[in-house]
Amino acid sequence: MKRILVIAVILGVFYWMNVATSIEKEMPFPLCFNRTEQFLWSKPELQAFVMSYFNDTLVIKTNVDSAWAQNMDTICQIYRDSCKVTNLKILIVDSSSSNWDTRYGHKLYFRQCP
Amino acid sequence: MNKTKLINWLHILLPLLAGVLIYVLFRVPVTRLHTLLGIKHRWMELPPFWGRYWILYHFTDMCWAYSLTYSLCYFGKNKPWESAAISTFLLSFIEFAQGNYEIGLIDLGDLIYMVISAFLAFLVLKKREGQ
Repeated sequence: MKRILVIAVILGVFYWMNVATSIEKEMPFPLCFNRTEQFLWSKPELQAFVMSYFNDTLVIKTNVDSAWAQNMDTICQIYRDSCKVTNLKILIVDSSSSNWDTRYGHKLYFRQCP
Repeated sequence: MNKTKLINWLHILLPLLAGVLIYVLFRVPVTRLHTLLGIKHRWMELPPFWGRYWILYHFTDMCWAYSLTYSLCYFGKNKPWESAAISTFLLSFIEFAQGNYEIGLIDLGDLIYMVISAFLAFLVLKKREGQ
């Protein structure tokens, strides 16, 4: 009996840990976080990574202030095609700048996907 | 606490700690854990190298599966095979649930890595008990 109780407690604790590390339910497109991340990794020249998702806005940090128009198109396409998400907002920030005008750094670009 | 007991506890706690640290430091803050800890943005990016994706998305689950299996086998001493089977069942069930019970949506890589680490935990404990 004691052993069953111990096993039940262990399973409960580990199940809770799994729930705690799973993506919040209100975020309907976990798959696309990974896809976006892989896309950014495939473009090392951008020196960029997904920093946060806040208020329906995907925040991407970069050190490169160019070539973002086309890359934001690609990210919009990833979300539209893979996750059926439209109207996603994308904010590109440079947090190495001293001129912070958003909570994440200096705003370079902002776009709302079609 | 004697040395053997301490080492067994470390086999359970260290993988959990490693997994939590990876989540907290390197993952995009979109999980309940981040919300719980009040983390709004990723603290740092893992430097680019060949195993980056594996560490971020598979190693953390492997740590969890290792720790789960080790603790089940350790605390259910009399029946380690049964404990390992329960652990494998739980982690498979969770993977199926995350894939909405659709075969095509299951992260097969994750499942394979977790089963490997569960088996590893079982072997490590068996070896330690044999010493």
